[in-house]
Amino acid sequence: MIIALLTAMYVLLGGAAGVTGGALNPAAVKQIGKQVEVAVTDPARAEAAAETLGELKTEIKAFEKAFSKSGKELTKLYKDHEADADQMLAVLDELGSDWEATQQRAIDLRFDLKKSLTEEEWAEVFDGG
Amino acid sequence: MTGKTGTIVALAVAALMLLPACAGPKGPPDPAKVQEKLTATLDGEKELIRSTVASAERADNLVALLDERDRLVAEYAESVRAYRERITALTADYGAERDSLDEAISGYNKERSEAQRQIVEVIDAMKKETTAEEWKVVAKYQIKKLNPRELAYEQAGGGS
Repeated sequence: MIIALLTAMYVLLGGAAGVTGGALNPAAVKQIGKQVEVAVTDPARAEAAAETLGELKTEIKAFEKAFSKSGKELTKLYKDHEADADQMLAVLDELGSDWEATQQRAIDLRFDLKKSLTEEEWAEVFDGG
Repeated sequence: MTGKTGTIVALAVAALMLLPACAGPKGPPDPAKVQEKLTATLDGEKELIRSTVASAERADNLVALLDERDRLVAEYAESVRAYRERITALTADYGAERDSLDEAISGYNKERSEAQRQIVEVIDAMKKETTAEEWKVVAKYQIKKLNPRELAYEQAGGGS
């Protein structure tokens, strides 16, 4: 994948910060989960938070699949001397729509997570306390 | 920091921004090494074009398009950096409103869409400056060598 096409990747790897504040990927969500386990001592709220983060991880994995698929399509179009800009933009536009939908869902889950954490716990998880 | 150096640094930064999703246990790569490799790769790309494209005039046009591509990517890298700062701040803010998050995401998506359109137009123009055979050689190099993940991540000790 070339630099130009990888600008699309920023969207979902580097640029998909969303809820996590860093890269929105399964590893980052797992890390947040560990921080939540430490910060939230109430079992019921901790369990609810874990469920929310599980849903977030599922969303991200689904998007990663879409991203991988579009990456293959873009590479093919890039190699094809006859393929024009509109064909590449169609793939990128679809990916952009997927990204925005994933981000909207991530925001929904962010507010679900907020219900399970106090302000102090939130600060501990996302700010290091 | 201006001109080519600035662009290269921005490209290296852009490449590094991909790493959180794929960083290995050895941690992030050395930015100086990433930049060194990127400089060599971009120089190699221009050399390849000069030796592959039959017409000197078309080769010049193609090199100019590479410069334009790199400028656009550097500009876009700055947009990504600003977005990440914004979303990080909103994430840490317990009281952040939904509207603020929606605005940050949709605003960034518009910027990204416009940047992609400009970059794809440059790619299209590059194809038009080459024959099918020339493009096959140039595209192969670009796909193999100008992969930010490869450029940056192999410096960190490999991995996918």
